[in-house]
Amino acid sequence: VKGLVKNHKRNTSLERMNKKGTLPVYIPVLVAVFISSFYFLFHFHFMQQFIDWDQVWYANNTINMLNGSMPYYNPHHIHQETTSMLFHKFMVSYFGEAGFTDIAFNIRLRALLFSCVGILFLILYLKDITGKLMWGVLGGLIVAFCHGYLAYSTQMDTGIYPSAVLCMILWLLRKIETAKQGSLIYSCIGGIIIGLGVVFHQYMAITCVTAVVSLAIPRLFFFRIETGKLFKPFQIERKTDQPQIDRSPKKWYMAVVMMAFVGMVLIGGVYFYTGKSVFNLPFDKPDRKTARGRYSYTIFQKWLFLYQDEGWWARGFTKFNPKHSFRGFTNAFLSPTTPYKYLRYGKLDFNYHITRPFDEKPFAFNQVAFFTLIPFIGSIIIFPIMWRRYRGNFFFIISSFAGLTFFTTYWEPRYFEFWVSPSILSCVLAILFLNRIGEMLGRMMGRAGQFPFYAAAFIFLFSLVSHNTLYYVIPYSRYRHMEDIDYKWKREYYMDLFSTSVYRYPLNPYGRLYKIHPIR
Amino acid sequence: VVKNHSGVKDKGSDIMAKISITDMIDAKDNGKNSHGEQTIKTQKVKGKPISFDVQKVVDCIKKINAKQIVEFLRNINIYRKMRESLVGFYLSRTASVDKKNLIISWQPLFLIIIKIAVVAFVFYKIWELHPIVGNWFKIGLDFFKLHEIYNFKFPGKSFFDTVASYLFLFVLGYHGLFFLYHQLQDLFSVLAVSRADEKVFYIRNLFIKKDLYIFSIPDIALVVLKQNILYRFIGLGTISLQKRSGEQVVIRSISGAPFLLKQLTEMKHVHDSEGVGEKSQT
Repeated sequence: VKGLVKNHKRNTSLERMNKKGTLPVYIPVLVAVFISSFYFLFHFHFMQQFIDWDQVWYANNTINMLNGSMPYYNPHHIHQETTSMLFHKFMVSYFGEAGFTDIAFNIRLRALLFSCVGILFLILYLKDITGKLMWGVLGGLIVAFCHGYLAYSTQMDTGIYPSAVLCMILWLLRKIETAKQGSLIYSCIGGIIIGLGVVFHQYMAITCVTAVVSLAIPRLFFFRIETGKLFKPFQIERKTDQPQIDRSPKKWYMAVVMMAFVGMVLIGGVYFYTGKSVFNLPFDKPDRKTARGRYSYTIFQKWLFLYQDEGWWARGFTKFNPKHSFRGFTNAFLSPTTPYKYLRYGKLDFNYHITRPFDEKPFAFNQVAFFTLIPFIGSIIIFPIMWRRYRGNFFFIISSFAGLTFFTTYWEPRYFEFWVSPSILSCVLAILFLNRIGEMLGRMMGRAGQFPFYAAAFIFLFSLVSHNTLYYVIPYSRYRHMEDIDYKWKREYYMDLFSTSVYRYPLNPYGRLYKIHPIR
Repeated sequence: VVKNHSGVKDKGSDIMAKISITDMIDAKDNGKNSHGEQTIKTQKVKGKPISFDVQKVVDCIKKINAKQIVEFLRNINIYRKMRESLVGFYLSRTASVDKKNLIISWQPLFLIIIKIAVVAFVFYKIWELHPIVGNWFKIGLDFFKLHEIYNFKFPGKSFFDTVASYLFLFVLGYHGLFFLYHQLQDLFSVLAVSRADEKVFYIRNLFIKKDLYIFSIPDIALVVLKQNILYRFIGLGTISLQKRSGEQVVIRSISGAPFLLKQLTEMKHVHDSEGVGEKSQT
């Protein structure tokens, strides 16, 4: 009997997953809030002064709306301009007296707040799924100091919002899967969040579908099916406090349907409101007389998928070059050592040198290679173990990664904007893999089993922080950097976005602090 | 020296008389009452003289013992009387238990009040330390030198003190509400032992939710009484019941714990000597 029970105990991953930590519930929350606040202050100190085509475009749309022009909705990130305007109005009315009146600065601040929320949820999620706060802290910092996340945290662009929502979806899926009760309430919140994900960026539709599918997978698939059970006349099963999703299939299916339904209603509502009520776009053929706004030349369906088939984007398959994808993916982790971010100004050669892993020059690049390749290959090798341990979350991570990689390769592989979300997912996958290996090692070594993997993650974090601070954070905060600006544009379109009013010493805000010039 | 009616010296009356004599003035004129018994008539220096029968008092005192005192105190304690009758009624309705056979106990009110007072005092003293943390926050913000970079109005010390106080309030409030919830639950929860049914009942009650736990005494393998030196003086104790299945039930700080343990062990002894215990063990 003892043997049977012991054997059963070893086989149930559920038991280990549901084991509560000894820390009070609010300690991880406080730690996550502390790290997010630190991240906020860090960016506040090193506020980037980088503008490019997209940022000028979005900021000017917002300024036009503030000046009374018609509401403008970009279909692939429908929220961007309107919510920027609302946030700016909010800041001016409540913090205007303190000095927050610069529109470019306020839009950057909004992105920063979202990035902090993303980090907060990522720390909570990693703590929740691994059961170790250390993984939460390390994982949160690794993602926070990846070049993609760093760059988009304070840009007037749209990259950070879906990335932050991705972290929230991860946290929420875990909550729904492990909730002892109230999974329906969580799924309603989940529906709102996946809906917001698509509102923040259309490519999040991939993530939303995989999120719902990961919940809909029959729970039976996550447990070891013991064929021996059929022949055993007697067996003792340990009673475990099961989550609602495993205990009550009725509620679980309702939760899945509820999440999908709420999400679809939100997305549908937003798109129909903007496309029909605001722009009044027809479904059958274009009508310039009845349609309003910039997209009056087209129909609703074409407006909805405008960027997916426009020609300038979406050339990833027709002109496929794997180097482009590698360049984008690498840049999502590490800043290029040249001061240019766009591929057309930079080079396509890589700094990886796997045969000389500890050389100074390729050190950070090699760390990225190790930290992504080893977990990818390792996860394939121990796939069943990972599958049973992390259940729906593992499916969500791998399928979302695959979907987003496919989409980014198709749409815009050369620039790292769309590689931010896959880079987050690969960091999460790496941490889950290392944690699982640490748990296997823990059978012999106990808690010390995690230590070598903490050290490995710390080395990776160190290389990320040092590289990106040197090549991105410091130069891009101390120099007014401009790239990819249309020469036909008037100077007032972009020169006013350099936030001169917010700095005490506008020409060189950091000159009085450091008195030295950064590496350029 | 005072003698009783049979002329035998009585130690108790001796003492009483001594006490009386010190306060009395004159006992000559009232040597005997109408029944011919010897009495002492007392008279104060001023006012009406007061007389009482010493023997009656002595007899009364003779009859009084500890059990009677306890009984008396129990009878005048309306809180206990009402609560016991309510628990008896509830158990008779839910678990068909005879009210008369119940031994009922709970965590005393004074202990709960003392605990709440001590915790509230300690929490207040901790909360008073929040300006230190507020100062740390200010140092943290100063580290980033934002006031040297930006043209903004940056918050002063009072803002950080407020943030720190809310943070302290959050942490202490979290623990405080958790603690208070358990104290209220302790206040309304009851342990009852039924000798006739060989069962232990625990009613966990907070009005909104009322849970009744029933443990069968033959199922209990180990009974533990835990007391510290203070608890021994006031008769409190923690009883831990370990079931044969390995589950452990802990009932903390209940009054009359040694008495309850005695009842439990007696029942267990009777049960085991009947041979039922061995049977269930096998």
